[in-house]
Amino acid sequence: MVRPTITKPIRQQPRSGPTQAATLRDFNGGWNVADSDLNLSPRFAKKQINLMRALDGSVQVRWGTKLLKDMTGASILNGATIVDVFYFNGRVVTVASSGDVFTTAADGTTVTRNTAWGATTFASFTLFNNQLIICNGVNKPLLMKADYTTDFLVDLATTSNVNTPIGLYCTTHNQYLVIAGDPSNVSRLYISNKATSGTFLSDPAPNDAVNFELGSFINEGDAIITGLGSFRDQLVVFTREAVLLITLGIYDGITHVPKVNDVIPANGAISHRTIVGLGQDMQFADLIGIAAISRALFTGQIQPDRVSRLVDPAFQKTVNPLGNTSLLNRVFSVFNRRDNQIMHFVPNNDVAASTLETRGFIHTYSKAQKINAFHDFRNWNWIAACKTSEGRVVFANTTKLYFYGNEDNQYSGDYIGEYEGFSDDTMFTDGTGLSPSSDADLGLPIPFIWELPWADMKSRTSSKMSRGIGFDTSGTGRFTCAMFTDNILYDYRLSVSYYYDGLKMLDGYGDTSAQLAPSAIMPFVAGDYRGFGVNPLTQWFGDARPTSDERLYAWNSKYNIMKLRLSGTTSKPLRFITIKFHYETGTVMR
Amino acid sequence: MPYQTTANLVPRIIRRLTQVPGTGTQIYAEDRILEILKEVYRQAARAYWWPDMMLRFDVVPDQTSGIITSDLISANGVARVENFSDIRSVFYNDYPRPLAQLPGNISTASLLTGIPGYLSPLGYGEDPTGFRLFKLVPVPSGTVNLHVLARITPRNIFTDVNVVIPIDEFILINGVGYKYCVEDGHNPAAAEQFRNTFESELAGAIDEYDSQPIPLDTRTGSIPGSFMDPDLYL
Repeated sequence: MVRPTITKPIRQQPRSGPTQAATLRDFNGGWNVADSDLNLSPRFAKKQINLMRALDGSVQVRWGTKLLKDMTGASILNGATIVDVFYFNGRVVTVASSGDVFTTAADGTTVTRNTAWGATTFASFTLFNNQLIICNGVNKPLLMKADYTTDFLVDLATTSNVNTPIGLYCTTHNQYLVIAGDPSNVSRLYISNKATSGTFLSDPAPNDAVNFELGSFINEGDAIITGLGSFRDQLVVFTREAVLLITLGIYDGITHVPKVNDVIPANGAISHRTIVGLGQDMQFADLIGIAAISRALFTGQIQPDRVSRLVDPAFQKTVNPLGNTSLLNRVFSVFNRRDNQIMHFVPNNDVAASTLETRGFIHTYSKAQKINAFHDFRNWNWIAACKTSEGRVVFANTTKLYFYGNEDNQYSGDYIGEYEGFSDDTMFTDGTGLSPSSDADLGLPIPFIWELPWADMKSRTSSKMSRGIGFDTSGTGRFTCAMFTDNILYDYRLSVSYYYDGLKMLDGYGDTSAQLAPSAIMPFVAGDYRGFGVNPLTQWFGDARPTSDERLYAWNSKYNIMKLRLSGTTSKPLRFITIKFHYETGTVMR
Repeated sequence: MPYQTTANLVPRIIRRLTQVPGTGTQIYAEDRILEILKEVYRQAARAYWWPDMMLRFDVVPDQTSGIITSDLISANGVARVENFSDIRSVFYNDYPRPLAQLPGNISTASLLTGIPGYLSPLGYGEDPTGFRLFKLVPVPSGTVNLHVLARITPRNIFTDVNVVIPIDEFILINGVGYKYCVEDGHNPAAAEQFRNTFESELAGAIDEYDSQPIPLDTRTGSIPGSFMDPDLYL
């Protein structure tokens, strides 16, 4: 019998197969909405919600928060809300809408320090001679000493504050306390006597305090001062559309004569609360985006820059609905030193009571490491924030204080100590959860989305066939990877849906609804997940696809261009280190 | 017997292809592997008259149409003959030689008389149940018994993952591995290895049956060592 041959002999093939491999590992670009994602490098992301570039170069789900102190209660806020917070001498100083001032220690112990102020909608803080000065633009400034005793800022010689100005903004520069934001004199600087915080113009001698009018220096926009800052040897004064650089400490005889060195037009600040000094530069928010001033290397001149070019459209869209009052009082920033991040927050509604979210435009910035990336932090609703001397960040909503996580305090969920999510890493639709049952609670899960730009594998017109996918990850969180092909992100279809009143449309059809239309989708779990029976509580029977396995995951789809979208909700650590992709390149025939 | 079910084979093939194993893990590979498995099974099943896949049936042709009156389905209902080409031989009563297939150039079948008959495959739409497959031509007069030897196919093979596939597991695993590797553009040497193993396993399985020392003729007595041609001695 003739033995059958099922297959014909094949020709000798070269050792390497036609399957190619690509590895993505550089994600330093961050969030980019300015450029078309059909033309973006994979180091950028079209969406990067609640993800950030971590210190080790990976993309990590942002840190969560842990409850520090619930200040609701008759003995503390007593119906008032938090206006602003500041860190001073180991305590978080809180100013309430009632005007009361509190200090909170790391263990949550809260003490009322002052009740002399009236209703307050704004507060600014500055340190002078190891004492904290607080201004609210309504009442005379307060002085908190190192032992936290708080009283009005007074002239030490007369113990009177009759000449102490009332202003919204205060800062310390070159041994001078500078106050501005007087509603009656919107472009005036009140500069104290040198080396004393409470001595102002008209106080008895010795006194070189001076009031300085800036209106005649400003050639663009209105002359209303919106903020103060101290940058190296320059006092920086902001209006909406100008930045003035002033040198203090110049005397004509015994008269203090501040000198305006430069006026930078077309750059300004919408709020004193957005001004953040970083040492080498200073960042602030205006209506267009986030700007910065820095010192030129050789000339020493201060030069402006717009650091948020790549996310300006999103920033403008978020800021535009806000009125002047919201811009001045409710947009704020904080420097997260541990993660090299400048965090800028913008509320999503002009009315405070209707604000459901404060969107975070997070700038991860390190000149030495050449990192300049923005990220989009959501699912928060903060009123204020401050940084501690240990580099930690404290957030505040209307009634509570929270610690933000970091490498040493790894909070992977939100509102730890206040809520916990369900065992499947979900929560109630209103963003709350169950009451915590133990100290081991993970808090509420953090939803995240990472949408990479369209990729053509360096051959735009050739068809490709994906064959396999893999990840290098760390942590134990779960995520879903979806792949979209050929510029098809959504499937627009008519659905039989209903109006809000429950009635069907007369023609039997409903609104068009766009649904994501991936060509391939798979859930995975991060590389440190140890499998059923080994992991502690909240173990899911059946587990998921471990990304620590070096073997292949078949991932088949034909495309000319493709986009990956990683998403999920997790209260566990999760970092993406690399994305591995196997594919074959075909011809131009689709 | 080294036979496995689809439920066992697909995960083993996945592991053999160095993909991550697990129930429902390779959602983009399992369906492809199953389709390729069907192709390899079909090729291997037709490569030889595998004794394990042969079954004998006793059927009676209808005295009007000549179509056999019972389905070619196993007594326990788990296997059936699917095509006319799966029939290896049909014997008529105690006639010593198997029946032949009706030639295509016969003008009138009714002219065929006085012979046991010929096999004629049933045409499209002619098979009342789909499992009768042939008829006797010409129609017999009187009751006739037909003894059929045919290759069976397990019922619900591949649709029920717990049905045993009656082909050697290593033939199937390596056959699927070869085709999958070629389609995926894997290392050609790996594809070549799968192909070589598949062909050698298939050839080896056939060899085993061919060289098996079970005698085919058990008659006792001497067999003549010479013969005389009567025409030479007229």
